[in-house]
Amino acid sequence: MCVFCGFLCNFAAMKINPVNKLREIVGEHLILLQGKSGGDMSKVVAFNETSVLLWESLLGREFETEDVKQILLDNYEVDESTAAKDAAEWVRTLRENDLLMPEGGK
Amino acid sequence: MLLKIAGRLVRVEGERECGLLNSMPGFPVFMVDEGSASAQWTVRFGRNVALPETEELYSFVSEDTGHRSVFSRKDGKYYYACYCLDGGDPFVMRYDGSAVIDATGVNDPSTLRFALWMAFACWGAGVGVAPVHSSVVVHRGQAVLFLGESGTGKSTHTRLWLQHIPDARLLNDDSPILAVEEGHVAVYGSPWSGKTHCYHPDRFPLAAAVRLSQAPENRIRRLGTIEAFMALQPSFPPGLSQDERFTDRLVSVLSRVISQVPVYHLECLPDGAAARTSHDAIFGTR
Repeated sequence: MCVFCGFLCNFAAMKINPVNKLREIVGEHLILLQGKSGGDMSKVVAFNETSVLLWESLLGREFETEDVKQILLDNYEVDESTAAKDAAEWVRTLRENDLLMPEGGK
Repeated sequence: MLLKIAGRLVRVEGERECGLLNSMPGFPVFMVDEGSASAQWTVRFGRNVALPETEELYSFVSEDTGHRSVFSRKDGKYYYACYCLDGGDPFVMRYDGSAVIDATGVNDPSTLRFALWMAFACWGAGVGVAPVHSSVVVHRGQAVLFLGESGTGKSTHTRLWLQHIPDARLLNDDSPILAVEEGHVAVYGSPWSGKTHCYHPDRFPLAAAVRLSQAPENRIRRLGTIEAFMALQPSFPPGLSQDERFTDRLVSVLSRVISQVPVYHLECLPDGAAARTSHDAIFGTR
């Protein structure tokens, strides 16, 4: 929960849910989303090199979207507004796939 | 009793259960001479196996028997329990990570058949072998796996191969066994073949895996790594894929398969042209 507004805004501290395991398969990285199996195609979130870096940097600690942006700025030649946009996008992907701890945080 | 399944020797203990296996379709062809070699793993029926409070991983009710099966875990041990309709004590089997699996007694053939499949799936994951829900044909000395949800037409498609592709034969129609051996991917027939009585212990190198879906036209496409993973993973034993330890093992088998063998998605009609479409993609148009 955000300390300023009390909602899940960009200031809210988040934590990756450690039940999700980043797996490498023949050079590709993905997270297998556990759901009903035995049926149709399984659901995965595919990670590119940048996502892998973010995931490994942030796993196990609390972070905010600002931290994601900073990692992007430290590691890639991107301008601040692109980094901010990409960071928000990455956080949204994690949230949409339930890869964060519930309640956006602890 | 000694069985050789996927090239691995398993000892089955329990007088009543061995008697049943002797009379059940599927198992006799896998029996080998007791003195031939020592078993790599063992299933002991008729044991006293208590079922503690466990965390359920997967359960289902059999359409044929009405029995409810539950796969669960507790403290690094895995339990398969089967509840009959009569409400009596369930059949219980326990896998503790070792090569000896203990179970209570069982006198129902379908429970015994499934228990051995579950036992094989648990033990096999640790040694790079896994049953995979599929129908498999052999052509030019190589195996082709057809996968898909129940009712997608796996058996229909393999039957079309037998009718329209010369030198094609059925190896198994429900649960062949995928094996990574010395780095190579192979497929074995098994005693589990669904409603089709097709039981062969033979081994063939895997040529391709094809995921099927019904469509108004025939079209085949080779899948990239991630899609190949998504296509194969649901066909592995569903109970095991709810557990990280088993998932790790199955993913390593899957990685090997995907790195060596093409995986396709075939959208198809139930016709001979569909069989030729998949055949030509895998073996060429010769």
